[in-house]
Amino acid sequence: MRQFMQVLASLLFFASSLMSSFAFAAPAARVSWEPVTPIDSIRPQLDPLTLVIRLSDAEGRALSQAAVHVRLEAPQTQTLVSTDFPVVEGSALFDSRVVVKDGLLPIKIVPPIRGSYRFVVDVDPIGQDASFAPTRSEWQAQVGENPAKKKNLVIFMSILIGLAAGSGLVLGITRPARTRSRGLVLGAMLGTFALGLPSRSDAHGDEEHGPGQTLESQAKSVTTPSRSGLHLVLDLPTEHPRVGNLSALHVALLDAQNQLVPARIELSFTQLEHGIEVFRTEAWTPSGTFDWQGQFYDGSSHQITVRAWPGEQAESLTLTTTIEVEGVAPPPLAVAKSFGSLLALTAAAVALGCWLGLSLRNRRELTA
Amino acid sequence: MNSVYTQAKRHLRITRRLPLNLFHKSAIVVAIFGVVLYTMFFTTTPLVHDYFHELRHSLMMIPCH
Repeated sequence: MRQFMQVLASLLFFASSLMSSFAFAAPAARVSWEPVTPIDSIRPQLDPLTLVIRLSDAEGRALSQAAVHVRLEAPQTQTLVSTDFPVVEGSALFDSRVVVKDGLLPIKIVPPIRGSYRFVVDVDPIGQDASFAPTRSEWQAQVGENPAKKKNLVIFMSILIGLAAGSGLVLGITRPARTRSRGLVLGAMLGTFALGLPSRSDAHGDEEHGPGQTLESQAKSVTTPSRSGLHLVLDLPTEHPRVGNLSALHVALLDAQNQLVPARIELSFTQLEHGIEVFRTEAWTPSGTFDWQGQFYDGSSHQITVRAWPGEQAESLTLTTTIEVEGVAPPPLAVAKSFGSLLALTAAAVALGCWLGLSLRNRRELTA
Repeated sequence: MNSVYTQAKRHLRITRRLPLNLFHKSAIVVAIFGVVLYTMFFTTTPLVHDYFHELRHSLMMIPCH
């Protein structure tokens, strides 16, 4: 009897603890995203992917405050043909932790390449907030290629095939030589390649993009002039940002006594070569500091703009600075894929032209 | 000018006498196409890269920086 009572008590305890854990476990937060512009119409490097991440509780009410870890991954490397930014393929475009107020996190980014982008959002409660449980949400956005670029490629391929086939046709029609000289041909081929290949060395240092060249170290910190006792400080990475890598930016809003001031912060990057705003986001910083890890995917000058609204004020402080991004030479595999495709197409077109030329020559000789 | 013309004629004469069959000629043509394509689209020499930069990006398959 005593043993039976013990077993019953333990069963009751287990059942009650199970029920309480179900009854008091905070429900997961709801994470949804709304693209402001239709994704189908987005052209890489030109049109922004603008979206709003909405955070709400189980009843659909916007979360007043939440810590959000947001990550965007660029499309993976394609098997056959490279994109025009191969270094970016498969890398993180941003990976940051921000505080979101009123359940809204707007993000605008100009996607650099075609393919499937992966968003990962982790939402965590701040402090003792038990209104929702940590939640992870993932989704993908498929960005197509710019139709104008597709058209350009078709035109270019047509010209290449036409020229190569025409060359083959001329070779096929002309009469063959009497003897062979394999060594001469091999020598000519090796010579021509030897002339072209040394340029592949790390000479990717131009004024516009500067891939491979070492840029001088930059100023570490930029500060706005003090206005009404407040000033905005932007700490830049010590090294110049490199394409393919994340760069850490640190923003702080300080008052006259150098105390941090809570603020709403807006961060944007503008690619200066084409004058396109390639990234923008906005977040709330209760601590007065804002950290962002983002990638500059084009190896050229970028303008960083930070706007801060202290407290709930309508008036803002703006800080603008220019940063040089170090480009990276494309990986040999990406070059090999694209160059191999073009060369294979050329060889096929020359072979086709030769076959046509031979056929024409044989027909002409038969009729003669 | 006259010497250049004479040289050109001489090289043309030598080239015409080169004993090459169709396969060899085709291989040379493909090699020349390869050198031109590589130089235009894949070389990282700043002078060439800058000149063809926009063209490279407009063809959706040429890797750049």
